Amino acid sequence: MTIPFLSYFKRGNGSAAVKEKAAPAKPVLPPLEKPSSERFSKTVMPNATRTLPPQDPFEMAARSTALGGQMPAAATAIAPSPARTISFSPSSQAISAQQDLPPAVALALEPQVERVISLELGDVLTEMPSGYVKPLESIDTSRRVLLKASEVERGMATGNPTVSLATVYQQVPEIFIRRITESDTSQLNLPFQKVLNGFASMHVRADQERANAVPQVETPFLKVTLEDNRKFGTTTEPLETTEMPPVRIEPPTAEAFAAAEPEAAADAILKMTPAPSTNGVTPKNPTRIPFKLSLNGTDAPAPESVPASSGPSVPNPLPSPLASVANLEGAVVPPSETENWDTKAPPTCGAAPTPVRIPFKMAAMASVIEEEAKPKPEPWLTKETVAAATETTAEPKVSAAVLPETARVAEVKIALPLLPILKSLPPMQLTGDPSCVPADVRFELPFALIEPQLASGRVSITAKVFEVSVPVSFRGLFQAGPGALDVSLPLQEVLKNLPAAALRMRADQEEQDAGQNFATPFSAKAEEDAKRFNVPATPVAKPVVPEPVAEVAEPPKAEVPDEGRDGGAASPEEPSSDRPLRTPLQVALNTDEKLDAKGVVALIHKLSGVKACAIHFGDGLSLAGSLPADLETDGICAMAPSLMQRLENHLVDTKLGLLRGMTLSCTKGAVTFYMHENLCLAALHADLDLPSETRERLSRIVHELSRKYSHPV
Amino acid sequence: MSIINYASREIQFKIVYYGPALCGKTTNLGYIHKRINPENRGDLVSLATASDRTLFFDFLPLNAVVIKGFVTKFQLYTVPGQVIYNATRQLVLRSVDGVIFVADSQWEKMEENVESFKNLEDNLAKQNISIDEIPSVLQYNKRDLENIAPVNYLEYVLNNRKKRVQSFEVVSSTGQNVFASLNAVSQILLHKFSKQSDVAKTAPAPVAIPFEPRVARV
Repeated sequence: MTIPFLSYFKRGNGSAAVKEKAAPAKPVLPPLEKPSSERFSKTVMPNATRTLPPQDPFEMAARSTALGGQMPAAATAIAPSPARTISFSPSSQAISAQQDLPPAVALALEPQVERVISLELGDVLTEMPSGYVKPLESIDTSRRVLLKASEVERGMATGNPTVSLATVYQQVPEIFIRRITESDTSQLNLPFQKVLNGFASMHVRADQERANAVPQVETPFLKVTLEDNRKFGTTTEPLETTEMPPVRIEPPTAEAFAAAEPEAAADAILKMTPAPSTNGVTPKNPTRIPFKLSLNGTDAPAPESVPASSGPSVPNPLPSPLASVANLEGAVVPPSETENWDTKAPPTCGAAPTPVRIPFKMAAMASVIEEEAKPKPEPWLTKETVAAATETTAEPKVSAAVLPETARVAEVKIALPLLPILKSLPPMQLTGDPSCVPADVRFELPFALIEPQLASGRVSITAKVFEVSVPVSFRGLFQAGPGALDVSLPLQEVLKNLPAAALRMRADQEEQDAGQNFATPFSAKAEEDAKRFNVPATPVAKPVVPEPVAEVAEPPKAEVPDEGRDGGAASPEEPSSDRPLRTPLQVALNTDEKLDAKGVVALIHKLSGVKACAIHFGDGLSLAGSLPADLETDGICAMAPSLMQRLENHLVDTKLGLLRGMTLSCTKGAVTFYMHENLCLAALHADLDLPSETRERLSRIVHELSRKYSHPV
Repeated sequence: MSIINYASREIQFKIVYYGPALCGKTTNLGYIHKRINPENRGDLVSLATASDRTLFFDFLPLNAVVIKGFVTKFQLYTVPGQVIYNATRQLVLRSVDGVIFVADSQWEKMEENVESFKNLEDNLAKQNISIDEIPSVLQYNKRDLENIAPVNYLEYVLNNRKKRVQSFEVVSSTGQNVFASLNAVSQILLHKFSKQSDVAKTAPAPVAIPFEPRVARV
């Protein structure tokens, strides 16, 4: 058997034995001198003093009694501290520094004081059981022993103070016959009266500082305390109070504010300092502060207001300024006196206010909507509003070009279904069951009310307007009381019924400068994701809404439709304002017609460069088509989706980007296939190639078609 | 403003995901963190509550490409969407280079989207930055839900300013177009940086004007 490294082990042992045998007495070499950088160093701090812990009082007592010394009747001793400390400054400096420390730190550093009482040894030994100590004749019973107050006072409540035998042994071991261990729990009874006298002779520390007395202020507890004193016959320290500085009471007029001088702070502080207390003198009642603070702290009734963003005002339970108010003494002031109340002393809500009828006028129902529909000025001052204000003041006549447009917008109305709106109302605004309203009941609202709110993401009308707009037969279901909340209109319903040009994007928009196609660390991942989700990684195209055609005489600078944009302008015959909102597919095909597959094929057929087209599902099933039968393209159309799928799989390995379309250029014609998700569109070229605009539109159309047919709602 | 370290030839771009509460900002970052090669990214630092509400911000550092000899690094941040944390949002927006505004496509979130966008404009204005100047894109998130507003309305509400920015239909929970929007804003950022550096190069060098000492009149 081969044991690895055995030879090394043997060799090592042998050499060690030889060395032991042959080791001569070597001369002691002098220690090598290390360079200074490698030597350990020790720095002695200057002014370092060593502070030893205070002696154990019991050891001191034992030592002193052993030497025959006398201890005071009551003493305080410093408890032993657990660790020794080294301070780097003279002790006097430490004390002064401690005084400068923050209170919490100074308290922590302050030595803990152990309370002790002292008794004569004879008093302690009166209850000592026999067999523990030597005969009393041989002991000096006048010697005093120290006892921990915390140990003795436990039995004071029952009138039987005790101390452990071990504690006594610790101080006077020489009087004991045998040794008492610390674990001995034997207790020794002490004379109650002597111990009580010991406690009574304790005194507070000499360096105590008295806390600053503060002037008494009337609190809810002070009165009860005085009553309790009378009730139980107890005496308390006399209250140290001084008269409060007089408070001037004047009506809050401008003259009073101007005449008011700032109170001298120093004087006030001097007046507030407590007078020296005199025992037995009945304390003065504290001065009552002669005013009340109202709930809002300004001594004026709280206004009925809510944050601007939280909707209409909510009825406030607090009395309004018009309600009756009570004066300081609680007398009710009639409402007639409140007319010029701002010049009088501010009233407070002392007594129950009498509700006052608020006079108001009911506006005519028709005029309510007109008022609401009027364009409101901006609530803040801007350059434009200031300019507009100056213009209107200078020239009251309205521009002829603006008037017809405004009038036209004001005339346009949109019809909304009543049922979903009633269902969304809070129960407090309903007086009946909204489900009794037929689904086809609609109500009309002026578009001018809705239009300014469209960009804010929330459309609402006031309760009054809603009440007026609701058909008379269902008006009873809605309760528009005073302070009723605005009625929110569901955005879905609003958008469904908007005129086509309502969501028109501004024409002067500039596209962001995206620059050249940088390869970012996210490009590859974006392409991967686009392929994985089968969606283009391209941004959303700008929605195209046909420009409204002015019905009135407009200046000739009417906007020329942007050729580059999708869709172009609407034909002049189309009434733009009455058209419903277009779907994305309608936008892509620039039509308001209700679209089905055949309609889409017919419209694609009209695109420039397209001769015919067909729509297929991914599995080859034909949805609609107009490809000439003589070309017999059904087979290739059915195969195209799988071919494109294969091509896409291979394009991932290339740097060509995503597959946008597949063109088959043949001798008798060319067909381009576009595919999105499960839908494929084949477009037969009229010429050799398709225009780039048509390509873009076909790509969008197939995208929208796939939404409609691949994921039908 | 991007931080350029000429010594180490590094550029750091700070991109902030901004938007209303629960619109999917952290989900965006989580997806990016999941998909990026661990060698090229740091840890996603996210301080969120149990209900996935971001309390402070999420942070994801990404090491990226070399442009003109500079290694570009992207730092992606999100902001807390809750209205009360505006001070935190202002803090996170400091020295921002690009913004991706994440809008929640749900109908009932339209108002919050608008408020959050206004808040973004205000907070950028406090740094003397116009929303039209800073590279930014819009994300219309949660497009997979049923109760969503059409894109043309979102465009009308959020992208109808003088300068139209790129916008993407995104499903951040699955990752659809998450990288596309990040890629878009990065491209705009890099393009802007490249243009600025070109301008700096082509700017005429300062010419020393000969100084003629005046002769003191006697």
